[in-house]
Amino acid sequence: MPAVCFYFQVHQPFRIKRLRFEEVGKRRPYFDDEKNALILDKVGRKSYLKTNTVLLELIQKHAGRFKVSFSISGVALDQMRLYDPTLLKSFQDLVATGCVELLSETYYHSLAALYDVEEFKEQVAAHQKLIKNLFGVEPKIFRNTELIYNDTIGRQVAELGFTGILAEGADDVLAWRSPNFVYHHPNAPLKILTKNYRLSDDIAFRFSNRGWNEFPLTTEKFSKWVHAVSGLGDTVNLFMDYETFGEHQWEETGIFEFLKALPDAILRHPHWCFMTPSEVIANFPAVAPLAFTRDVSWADVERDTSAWNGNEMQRSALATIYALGKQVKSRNNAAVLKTWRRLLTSDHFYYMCTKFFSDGDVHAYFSPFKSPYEAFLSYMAIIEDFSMLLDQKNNRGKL
Amino acid sequence: MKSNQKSSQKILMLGWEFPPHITGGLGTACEGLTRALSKKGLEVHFLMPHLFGNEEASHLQLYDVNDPHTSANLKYSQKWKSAVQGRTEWLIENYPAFRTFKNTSFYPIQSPLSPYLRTIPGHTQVKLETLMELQARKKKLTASPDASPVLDFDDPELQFVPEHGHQGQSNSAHYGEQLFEEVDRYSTNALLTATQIQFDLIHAHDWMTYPAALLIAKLSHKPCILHVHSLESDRSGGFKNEHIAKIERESLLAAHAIIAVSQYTKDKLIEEYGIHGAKIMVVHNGLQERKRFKEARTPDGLYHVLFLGRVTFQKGPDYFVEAALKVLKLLPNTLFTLAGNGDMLDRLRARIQEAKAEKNFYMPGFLKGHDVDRAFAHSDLYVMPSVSEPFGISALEALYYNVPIVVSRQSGISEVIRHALKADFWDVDELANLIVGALKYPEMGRDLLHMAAQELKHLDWDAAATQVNEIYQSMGGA
Repeated sequence: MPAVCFYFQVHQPFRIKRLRFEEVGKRRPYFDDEKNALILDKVGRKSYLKTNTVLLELIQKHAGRFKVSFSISGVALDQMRLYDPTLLKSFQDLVATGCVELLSETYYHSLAALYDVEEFKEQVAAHQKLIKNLFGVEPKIFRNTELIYNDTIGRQVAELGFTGILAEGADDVLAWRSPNFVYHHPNAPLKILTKNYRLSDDIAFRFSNRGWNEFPLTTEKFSKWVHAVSGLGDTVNLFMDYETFGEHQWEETGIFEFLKALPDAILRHPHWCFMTPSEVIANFPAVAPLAFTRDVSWADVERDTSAWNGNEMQRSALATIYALGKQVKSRNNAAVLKTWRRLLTSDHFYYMCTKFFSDGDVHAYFSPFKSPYEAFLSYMAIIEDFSMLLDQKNNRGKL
Repeated sequence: MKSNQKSSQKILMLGWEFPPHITGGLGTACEGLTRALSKKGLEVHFLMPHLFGNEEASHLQLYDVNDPHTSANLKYSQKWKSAVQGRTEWLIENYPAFRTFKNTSFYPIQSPLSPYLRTIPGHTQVKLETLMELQARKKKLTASPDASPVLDFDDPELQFVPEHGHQGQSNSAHYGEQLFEEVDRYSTNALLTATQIQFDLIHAHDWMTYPAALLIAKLSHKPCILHVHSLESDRSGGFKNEHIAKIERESLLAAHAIIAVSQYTKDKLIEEYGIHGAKIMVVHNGLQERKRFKEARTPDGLYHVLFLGRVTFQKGPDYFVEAALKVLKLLPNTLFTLAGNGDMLDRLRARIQEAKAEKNFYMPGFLKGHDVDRAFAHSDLYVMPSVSEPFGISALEALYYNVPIVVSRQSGISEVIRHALKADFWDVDELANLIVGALKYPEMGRDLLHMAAQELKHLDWDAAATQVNEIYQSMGGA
């Protein structure tokens, strides 16, 4: 019985302020609380709350036959607690239905898996703890920031006790294989779910694209494509940002109607069902080992990490901030540690991406900065200020 | 196939300067554009107020409109000749009547004048009555490209009685003393020269040549394209010469088509002169392919920041100095080179002295040739804080020397190079911040240059010439 496996990513960074070099050492705040609260409020109203309501109704309506999974970053949860507790409550209600699985990730939605293994483990543990506290569940399946994955990360994740991981079904990795089966790590006890990027992106990116020859996308059409997998796969993994609903695809595009009607359309075929990642792993055998010999992510056509570390500014900023880790931890000061970790969030480096700046595409759309260069300079000014603070022996590190 | 069909097209081009004798970007742009046009098989006849003899222009026919010797060697067009049969003589006899600025009292403009220099306050109340104005008034001329020809030989307005001739004047090309008179003489002589050239359309560069272009268009019934490299409001800041502005406005309104060097300039044309946007085409400048002398640098432990341009209001040198003084508070080991001449130099020197920052500034004056190469090659950063910059080709030059650029948002370049550091010219704090950041983090400069290089590929004269040629074709001048 093949399954549709939905996974939604919920994440909001603590965006930094514009800081000028002349302000370094003047104890200016790093994070733009006002903007962060504003954005959470906007995304909450346009996307999260609305979609949560739709999902809750669908779960109740289908009485256990409709299931989804989420990964919610620690920093997103922090901001919900700070700025919008009703938002948090609405996610808690969803999880309480028993039809929503929560996945594990790094608390700070960071690139620590690539740059600092110890820090990576600490952030995963911190996230586990937070999820346990807020939702009373313990995630068993891991997904790394932006689906960044390679064999080394797989081994570490297995060592942490996770039984499965989500990854991008990149063409060069899968080669002739289908993304619609469960695979396993070549030499670690870890199952791998690969994203069916064609069907996922049909919803996430192409849904409202009038230039697309399949426009408009109806649930009939989409479920027909899903049902066509019958006999050719066990699971169709639809992984996407949660903001797809209402933010990337505006309400006016009909995305909510699509979502409301989709479960019925999928379940109309008697062989098909919805499963969470844990259920997929429990129900289907891993058909073959799948090696990820390069860093794969779900971003851009390259499906690599170049959106975060593809240029010199990004590599310089990453090297500088990770190099401070030892000094930060030796301070044994929770506030200093928290500040440093918030600066590790991957979005800060994404804003410095120059790849598509010329075209003014998604990279520009999601950035609070006018240019990748402005993003870099603000970040470096903040690191300079932060380093000065770390160097001051008598400073209590109040940030 | 490529250009056979187009090879018959002949362009009468009116310019004011041509390398190597240039005062700004205008001459350089004319050279780059004409080279690329001739590669496309177009025949360009380029009319100049004066030739020095060492112009590198084997790709086109260059004429000195004031020199009877070159006129004697003109390629002769029988067709044209017959079209103006009898009129040529009349023109020569009466040519002072073609003075574009009839009723204008000429006044001397001090200092070696280029069309870029600001006028002297107090001289701006000159009454102007150009031929175009007379015509516009008489015929309620519209800006529509299919308007009937502006001038006609039988037009009584042309039958001016000569007031005084220019015969006694020397054909000075040091446009210094009497710019308007120069422009006037250019107009008349260009018209005379044009009678002996066969051409399909007229293409004129900046206001000094516009009156000539419109006169010739009128008499030849050929389409006229006016190319805007800069506007009076760009050049003059607060001291706009109304006289020049008026020539610009009237001419541009009468032109069949306009080429603007940037969207920035197009917007200004619409806003300031009320010109219909539909007849303005934006064609960005290219950059001349030439060998750039990239001198090896000896590390001296200093950061080097370069300003290169006229030290006048338009270029924002004062913002450069103010930003520099702020940078010095954070990076005292920075040397700022302010290269160029202009009327703000003394004031800026005083400001630097007052700030006791003389040792951090190097002011070599106007640079030429290898000194320009050297200035670029020795810089870590190029700053162009122009108050108003139609294009800003010097910033492109900097990129070719692998020097990252800071440009003002009030510049044409800012619309074609996204991978540049940008600030509003008045935002001295931000300018300083960008300079500090670029100097401290050279990795950003490398990213900027790497990305800008992709953008530069689209900005060559061949691409510009392709667009210009399309405009020629659409004018039906062939």
